[in-house]
Amino acid sequence: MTASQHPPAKRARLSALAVLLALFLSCPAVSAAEEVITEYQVKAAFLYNFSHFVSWPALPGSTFRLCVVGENPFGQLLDSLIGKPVNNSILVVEQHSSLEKIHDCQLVYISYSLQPRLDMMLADLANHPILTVSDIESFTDAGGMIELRISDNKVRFEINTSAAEHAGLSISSKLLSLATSVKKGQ
Amino acid sequence: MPAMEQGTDKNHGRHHAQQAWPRRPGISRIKHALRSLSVLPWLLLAHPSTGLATTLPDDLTSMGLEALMNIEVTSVAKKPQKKSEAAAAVFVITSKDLRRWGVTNIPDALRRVPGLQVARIDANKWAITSRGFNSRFANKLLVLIDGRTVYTPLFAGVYWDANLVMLEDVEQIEIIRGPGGTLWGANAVNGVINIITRSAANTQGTLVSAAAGNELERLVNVRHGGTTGSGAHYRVYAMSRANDSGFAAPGAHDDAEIAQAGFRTDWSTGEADSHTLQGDYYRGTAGQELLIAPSAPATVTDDADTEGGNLLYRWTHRSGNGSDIILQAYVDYVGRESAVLFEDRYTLDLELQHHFAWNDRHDVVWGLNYRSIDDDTEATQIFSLAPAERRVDLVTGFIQDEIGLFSEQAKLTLGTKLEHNDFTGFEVQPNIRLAWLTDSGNTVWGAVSRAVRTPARGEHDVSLTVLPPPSPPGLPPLTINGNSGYDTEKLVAWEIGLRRALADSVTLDATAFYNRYDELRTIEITSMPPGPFTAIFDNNMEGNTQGFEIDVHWQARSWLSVNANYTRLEIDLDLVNGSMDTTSLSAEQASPEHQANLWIAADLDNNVQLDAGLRYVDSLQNPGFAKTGDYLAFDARLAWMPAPGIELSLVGQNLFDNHHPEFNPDFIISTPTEVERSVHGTVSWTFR
Repeated sequence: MTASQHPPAKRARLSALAVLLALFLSCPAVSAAEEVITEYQVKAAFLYNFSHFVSWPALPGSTFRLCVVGENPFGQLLDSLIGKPVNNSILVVEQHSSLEKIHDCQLVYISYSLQPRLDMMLADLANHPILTVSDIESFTDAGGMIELRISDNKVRFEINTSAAEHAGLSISSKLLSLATSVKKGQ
Repeated sequence: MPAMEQGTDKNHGRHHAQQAWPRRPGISRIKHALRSLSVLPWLLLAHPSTGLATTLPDDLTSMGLEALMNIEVTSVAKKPQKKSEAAAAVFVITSKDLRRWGVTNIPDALRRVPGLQVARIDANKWAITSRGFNSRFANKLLVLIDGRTVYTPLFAGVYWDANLVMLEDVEQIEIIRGPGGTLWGANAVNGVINIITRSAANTQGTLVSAAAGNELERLVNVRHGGTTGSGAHYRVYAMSRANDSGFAAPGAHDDAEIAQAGFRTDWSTGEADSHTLQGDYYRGTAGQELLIAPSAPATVTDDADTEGGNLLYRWTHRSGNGSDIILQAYVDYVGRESAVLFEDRYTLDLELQHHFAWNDRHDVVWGLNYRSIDDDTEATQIFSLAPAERRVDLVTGFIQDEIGLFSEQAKLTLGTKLEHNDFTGFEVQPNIRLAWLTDSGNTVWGAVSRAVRTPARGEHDVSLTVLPPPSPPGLPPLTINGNSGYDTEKLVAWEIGLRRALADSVTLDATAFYNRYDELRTIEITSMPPGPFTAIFDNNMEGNTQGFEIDVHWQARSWLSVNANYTRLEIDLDLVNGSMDTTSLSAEQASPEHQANLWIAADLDNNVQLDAGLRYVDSLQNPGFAKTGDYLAFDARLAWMPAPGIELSLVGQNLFDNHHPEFNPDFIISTPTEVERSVHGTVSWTFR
C-alpha cells in the first residue's frame, strides 16, 4: 500500500521480484529451466490489465480499489499489484467477506465460494459503477461483466457489455476484441 | 503474438487445445477440482519464438493481454504441451462444439471427427472405428470415460447404446488417431477416444433440459451441483432417453429406452492432494430383430436388457518438486441379457502413474495398471462361451521419456509399454515420436509405433452359430469356434503430420499414415457340409492401410467460423498361410474411401445461434449385404437464448433424405435399419 513512494521503475522491479518470489515459494524445487507460474497468477495479471481497458465514470481520487469478495483464491498474489498505477490512481487490494463494504470498490472479484448467492450479489451491484469479474461458470449469463475461464488450457474471458453499460462503465474495443464472446443481452 | 497468429482465440479453440499427447486418460481436467487448492495447475509461458514454455517474463503484470492469453494452463501430469505441438493426430471436441452441433449422444458427436468412421446399424447399434476395420465389434479403438475403459473384453468392441454420457457435463472429448501404444491401455491400436466430464466444481447449480422429436422421443437431463460445508464440490444427475426405431421396409423393432443416474464429487486435502469419487448406474432395453434361428421363423424379435454401474476413485498428489503421482481405482459392472447371450461382467482396475522431470531435458512418465475381469455368461442356442465363467487378468507397465533437443525446438519421445495378458503372455509396444517446432510456429511431426490388439475373450472361448447369407441359397448355418492358439494382431504404424497457420484466421492440421498389419483375424473353415459346418478364428491375414486427414478451421468473422475436413482411407489386405477366408478380406470394402465434413457456426445475434453442417460418406460394402450407397447428409441447429440460463433450440439431422442406410451387422446378425430424417426441439434451463 505504500509502494507509491518508489519511482515506477523501481516499483515494477519490486513487483517482479514479488512474483518471482511467490513462484519459488509455491514450487521450491523446480529447476530454473522450468519456471512455472500458477493459474491465479495469470488471473491476477488479467485483473490488473482489465483496469486499463475500462473507463469508470469518475475515479474517486487517489485509490483504485480492487476487492476480492468471498474466499480468496489468489492467496497473497494480489499483493504484488498493490501500489501499481491505474490511470491517475494507485491500486489497493481489499478483501471482503460480505457485500456491505464493496460499494466503494472499482473492481470486484467474486469468488467461487459466493456462487450460491451470485444472483443476489449481482442485483445489489447492478447500479454501481463497479467492474464485476469472476470465474464462476455462466457469470456473464447471470449478469456479471467479465467471466474468466480456462479454455483450451488458457485463460480466456467473456464480456457482458450491457451489464457494464448499465453500470455506467465503458469497455474499450480492444478488450472486447480479445474476448472469446461478447454478450449484449441482459 | 503467437497465440493470435494461430487465429483461434475466438473460436472454440479446438485447434490448439494444448493438451493431448501424451496424456493419461481421465486426468486432464482435474484442474477444475484444483481450483480450490493453493497448489494450482502448472502454467508455463509459451516462448514467443519457439512456442515452447521455457521462460518467465520479469513481471507478469506488465505483460499485455494478448501475451497473457497465450499462457498455457494445464494440470496434466505431463509437462504442458500445446495440441499444436503434439506428435500425434489429435482432434478435440469441446463442450461448445457438443452444444452447437446439436448432437444428443456420443456416436453422433464423433461423426465430424476426421479419421473416424461412424455408422449406425440400427437405432441402438453403431459401428465406430478409427482408420478402418469398422464393425459393431470394431476392436482397434479404445474408448474411455473419465479414465474408465468401456469396451467389452468379450469382443473388444463398445456397446454404444449403454455408455451414456450427459453431454452438458462433458468438458471435452479428445480423439487421437493412430496407436496410443505407449501410454494408453490395451486396444488403442488405431485410436483412442477419451471422454472427459467436468469437475463437480464446474457443474454447480441446477440444470434441467428436455428434448423431444420424431426420432429422439425423449431425452430428459437433470443435474444438481452444490458444495458441502467442508468445501467439497458435488453433482448428482439423472437422465432418461427413448429412441424411436429406424426405417426398415418390413417394419423395425429397434426402439430403445435407457435411464441413468450418477454423481461426482471433487475435493482436496491439504495443498497437494486432490480427490475425485464418481459413479453411474443405468438400466435400459434395446430392441432388435435377430436372424438367429436356424429354422423358420428366421427372425426373433428381442429386447436386449442392459444394466451397468461403476464407481471410480482418483487421488492426485502433486509434490512441490514438479512431480505428480496419480492413483486410480475403479469397479465396473456390465450386464446384458438378450436372445444372443446372458452376460455379467465385473471389472476391477487399479492404476498408478508417476511423472517427474529429470534434469532439464527429460520429462519422464511411468505407470502400472492391473485389471481383472470376471465374467459369468449363460449360453443361448446360438452363442456360448467355454468356460462360461472366466477371470482374465491384464497387467501393464509403461515408461516414456520426452527429451527436449536443440534448445527445445525439437522434442523426441521414446516410450514403451509392456503388457501381460492371459491369452498371449508378454507383449511389447514401443514407439518413437519426434516433433519439430519451426520458428514461425508451425509443427512438423512424425512417429513410428508398434501396437498389438490382444485377443478378446470371445476369440478364444466362443461358439457362435451364424446364419448363412440369403444368397447363394441352401447354405447351412456356420458355427464359429474360438481358438486357444489365437494370437495378437500386430501393427507397425508410420505417421507424419503438419500443423500450421495458413493465414491469420485459418489453421490447418494434416496427417498422413501408413499402417502395416500382421496376423489379422481370419475365420478358417475346419469342416464342411455334409458334416457339421464349422470354423475357427485364426491370424492369417496381413495388409496395410494408408490415408490422410486434413482439417481446416477458418474464423471468417468474429461471429462466424467455418470448419472443413476430409478423410481418405485405403485398405489392402492379403490372406496368407493358404487361408480361404474371403469374409475377413471384405474389410477392404467396409470403410468409406472418402469422407468429408463442412460446417459453420454463426452467432446471428447475441442470443441467436445458427449451425449447419454437411457430411459426405462414401459407399461401402459389408459382407453378405447389398452395397451401402454413399450419402450426403445435412444437419442444422437454430438456438435462441431468451434469458440468461434459458436456451431453446431446434435441431434437424439428415434433412436431405427420408432415410438412408449406413452399415450392416456382422457376427450377430440383426435387421439393420436406416437413419431417418429427424427433428427435435430442446428446452434447457440452468439456474442456481
